[in-house]
Amino acid sequence: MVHTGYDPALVTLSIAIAVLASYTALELGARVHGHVGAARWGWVAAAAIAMGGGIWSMHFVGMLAFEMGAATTYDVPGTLLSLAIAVAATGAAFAWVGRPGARRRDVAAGGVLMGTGVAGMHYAGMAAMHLPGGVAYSVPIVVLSVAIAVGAASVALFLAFRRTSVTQKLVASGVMGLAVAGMHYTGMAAATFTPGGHAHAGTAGLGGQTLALYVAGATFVVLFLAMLATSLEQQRIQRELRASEERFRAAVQAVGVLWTNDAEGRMVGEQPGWASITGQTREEYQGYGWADAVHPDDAQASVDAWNETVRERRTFVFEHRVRARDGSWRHYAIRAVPVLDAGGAIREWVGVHTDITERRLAEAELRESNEELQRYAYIVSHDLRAPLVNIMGFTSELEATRQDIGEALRGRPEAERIDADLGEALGFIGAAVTKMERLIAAILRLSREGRRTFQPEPLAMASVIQGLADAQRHQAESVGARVSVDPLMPEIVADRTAVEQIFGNLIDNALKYLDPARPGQITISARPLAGNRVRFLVEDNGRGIAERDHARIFELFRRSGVQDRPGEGIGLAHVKALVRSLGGRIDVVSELGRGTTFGVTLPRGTATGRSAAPEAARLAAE
Amino acid sequence: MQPVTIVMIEDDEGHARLIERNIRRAGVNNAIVPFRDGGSALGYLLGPDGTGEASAGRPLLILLDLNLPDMTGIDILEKVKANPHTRRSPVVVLTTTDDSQEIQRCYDLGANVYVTKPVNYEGFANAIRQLGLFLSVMQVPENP
Repeated sequence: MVHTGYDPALVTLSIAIAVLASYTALELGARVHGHVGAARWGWVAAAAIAMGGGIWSMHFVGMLAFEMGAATTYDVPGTLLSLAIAVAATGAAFAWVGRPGARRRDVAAGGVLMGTGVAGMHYAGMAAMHLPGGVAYSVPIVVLSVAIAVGAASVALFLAFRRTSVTQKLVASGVMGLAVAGMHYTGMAAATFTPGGHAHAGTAGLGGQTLALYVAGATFVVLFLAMLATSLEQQRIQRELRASEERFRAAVQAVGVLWTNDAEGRMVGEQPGWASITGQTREEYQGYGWADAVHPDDAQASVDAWNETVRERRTFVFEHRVRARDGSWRHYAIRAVPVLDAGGAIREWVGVHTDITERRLAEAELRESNEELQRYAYIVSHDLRAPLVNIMGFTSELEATRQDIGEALRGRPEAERIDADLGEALGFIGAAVTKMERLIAAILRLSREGRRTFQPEPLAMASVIQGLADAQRHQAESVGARVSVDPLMPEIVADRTAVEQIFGNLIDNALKYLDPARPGQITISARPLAGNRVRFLVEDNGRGIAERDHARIFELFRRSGVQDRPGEGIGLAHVKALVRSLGGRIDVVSELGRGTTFGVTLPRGTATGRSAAPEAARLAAE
Repeated sequence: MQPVTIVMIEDDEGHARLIERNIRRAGVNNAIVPFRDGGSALGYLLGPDGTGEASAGRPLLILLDLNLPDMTGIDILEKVKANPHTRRSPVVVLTTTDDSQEIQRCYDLGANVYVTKPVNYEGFANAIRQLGLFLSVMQVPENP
């Protein structure tokens, strides 16, 4: 029997290596989960090298601590094989446990793999040792050593692969270190060394101490590098997290005031955004206290809209006034999105208040100046008519006087010339007044259209436009033209009269300005556009409009091309005004001698501002 | 029976002259009392005390323009039709406005006839002459 013993310092070092290697390996192995492809295998390999290398290194330091009183050498291929076993087995364990979709019971399989790896490495390493004597193993203790390795490795993997705190990680690495060192020293206890002849020292192996020191040193370097890599990765993740938090904070500032409500609409916890705009304290806005800062006139509508949104579980879109710190009311656009829990129930609401006071003011100003302009047009056209009555009236009186003059001058040589001069002058005055009267009537009509309150209603556009085409059928047939209306047109919500005037005018124009060289073909079609709009096209193969007139034709009293048709140059100006009032726009594409296409883009819903019920428009859902 | 006096409230001198000429052409020879602003017209109709007693017992027919410099014809119409002494006097609204809402408002307030002044002189002259013809046959009650 060889006298054996342990060097306590080296035993401590070996345990320290086992624990440190375990910590590093578990830290690396935990990252396998979050990655895919090459990166995933990279983390598996790193964890396997740290763990396998650690086990191996622990083993050699442990052997160094074991004082056999005899020289020991190691067989190089066998030793490398033991390292390979450790790395391969632990790598397999990490890959198995860290694969996507791994379950809890997979940890047990990983533990078996890793424990077997630890034990396999130990006994392969023992076999690679050249001892001066023989070695005998006690089977029950060998079994115990394997059981310790498997059990402790399973526990360590279980702990390491849960989302764990640093303490839990430390415990896991302690347990894993225990698996490695415990197995080793139990395994050593299973062995009985018997003295034999002289060792084949220096023949085919390296000196034990030297090897163990090299291994321990190299292990520390590897582990250090691995820890460095881990901490760099950790830093990167934290940087990204910080960047994403900053991005979020910037986004919140950019969009407006962020708040959260619980499922019932109560404010809970700190709401710095809300507090900053309203000046309410936490006690004041808590629960339904926030509603006190909403304008009393808007409160009921807000609550109704909110309840409807909750019922329909959609995005909350609304506008209301909120009292600012200084007591003034400011307009806000609100958007709130429900956050659902795993069961699909609303857990809370995240909403944003965007200050649109300036926009509202600008809109009101614009509306006011528009109304003023229309009032102005109305008054002017009325006041201009009064003097016209006089001009026309006294011109007619002069006409009567002219006859008196004719009577008085009868027989005089200059009588005929005077009568002709008077007649010419009176004729020009009369024609000019008639024309002016027509123009004033047109301005009056436009200003009246502008003042009319729109009554938005759902319009099945295919039937509306077909109705207009039918009304013009007689006119179309008399010029041999065909009007075809696409039956698949979307429905829009708009004022019927305005829409009928727009398309009636466009169809009328198309029929009026056909090219006699070919049979007229007028097509009306529509297609949906992004932003909840619809684009209608009125195409004809008529005489076309010269490029330079494309903008002019929409101006009041301007006409294009050969002036061989009756008209005042009002229709398109009127159409443009109506389209704009409906919140749409109109454009024209035309080539002289080829045809003309008018494009009318209208919103599907009602335009705000001019609708009969602005409240309803404001509450319109998405 | 006292002859009817025509009160013409018209700020445009030209219109006033044309109206008068055409009324005369229709053979109406009643006295025409012209006013060019609302204030003086009301002074005549309701008297300096504003009670309307000045008009008691005299048959009046009022030709009223709606666009006046100091007030609208609607104001005058309201006062005339609200006063017990003048409310039976027929009021003929003569104006350039053909706004349907304004026409309705005038009738609601008790206007008897609403005539738009056409720029077309023939139309205007015809309207006035017919009005004259109308005046020659209509019975204007004395104010109480």
